[in-house]
Amino acid sequence: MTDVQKQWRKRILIGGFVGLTLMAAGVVCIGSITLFGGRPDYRHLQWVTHGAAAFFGSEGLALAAQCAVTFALGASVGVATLPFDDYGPALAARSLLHFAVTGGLVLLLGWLLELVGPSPAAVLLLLGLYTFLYLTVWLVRWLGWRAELDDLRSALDLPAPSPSRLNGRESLPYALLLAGFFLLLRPLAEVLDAPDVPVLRALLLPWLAYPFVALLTGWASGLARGLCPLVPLTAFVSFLPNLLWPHVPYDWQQGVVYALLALGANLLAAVVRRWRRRGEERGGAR
Amino acid sequence: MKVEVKIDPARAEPTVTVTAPALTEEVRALVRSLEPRSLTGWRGEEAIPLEPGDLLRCYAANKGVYAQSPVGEYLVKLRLYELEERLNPGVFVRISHSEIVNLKQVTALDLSLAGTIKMTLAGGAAVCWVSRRYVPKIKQALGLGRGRRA
Repeated sequence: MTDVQKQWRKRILIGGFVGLTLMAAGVVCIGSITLFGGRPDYRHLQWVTHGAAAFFGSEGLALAAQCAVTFALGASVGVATLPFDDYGPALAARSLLHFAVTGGLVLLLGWLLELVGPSPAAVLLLLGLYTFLYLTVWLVRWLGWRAELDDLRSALDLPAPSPSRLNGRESLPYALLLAGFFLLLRPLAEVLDAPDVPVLRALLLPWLAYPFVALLTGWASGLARGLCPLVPLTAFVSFLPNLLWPHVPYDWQQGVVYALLALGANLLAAVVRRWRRRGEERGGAR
Repeated sequence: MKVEVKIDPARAEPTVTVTAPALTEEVRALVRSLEPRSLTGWRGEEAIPLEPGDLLRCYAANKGVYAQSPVGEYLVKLRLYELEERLNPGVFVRISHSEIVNLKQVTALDLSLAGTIKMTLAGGAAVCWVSRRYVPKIKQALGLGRGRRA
């Protein structure tokens, strides 16, 4: 067995058992809180849903299926970084395969736990959230790789590549992250929010989450790359689908405000970045 | 480790003697670093001495191992891991399961949006792809991060 195979086996086992542990902990916690009013009787915890038990014909079989899916999902998350450890077309192919397999397992577990029913909207929402999470992790890793590459360039005395026009290519990860938040938070809030008191949709999203995300991505891209007009533009464009929701409607001017917040934070961070660089150059000249 | 230098005008060439209580990996590495590092490349029946510093990269392809210099490519009758052991580990680094590059010949590094790292050698004389699994090794060779050189 090669070192790579050993690494895969180790991560599959660790990830799988962590998945099983989390499932057991989840059942015990939810059971303790909801089923027994703070006085848990662990002998009568409900480990599987009624729907899964009915589908498989017995609770034992349903539990075995649930354990298998949870183990597989944990293992899939455990090996998540390994497909990136290659190069060329193999990297893209393996990443896509991992994304598809993990997505299938998420759906399967969602169905077993009755998180998604037959409604296509619920399936799409779960897949959307999963995709967003996957993309976020991938983008964060990509930014880490870029920082790693900057270190290598510096150690090899290589010049940094000249930036693309208006930092378009460099700001793409920030823009994607921002778009993910703006496109998915609202559908998520539609599901989670109470119908009579829409705190998420009317208060937290427009007044806290969206401005915060716009400011954060504008600031982070400005500090890392300088002026990035793509980020505020993305804030406006990706906000527009939010206007399509009929309940608790938003206004298009809100999108302008978020774009201006992203632009302001980006400009300020770009100035800070330039000021820091000048300071470093002066320090180096001395 | 104690280093002692003795100057003897009667000697025709420098001689290095390593004295150690046991043949540890550290001693082996020291001996390797002192050994002459010439390589022989083959073009058909013709054997050509190769200066490692001039090489751009060594790679495995078509069941053979090749060394590429700015003037051409040569078959090397060694396995890639044997080459890796022979070459200076501070200069030559494995970047994928089939390739070793001369870090002094790297002229550009680029990261694609897909996450692949493209390495350009000698201004475009060779282009290769870095496997992410080997990035820690490159960092170690350059004295970066956790694997900082002593």
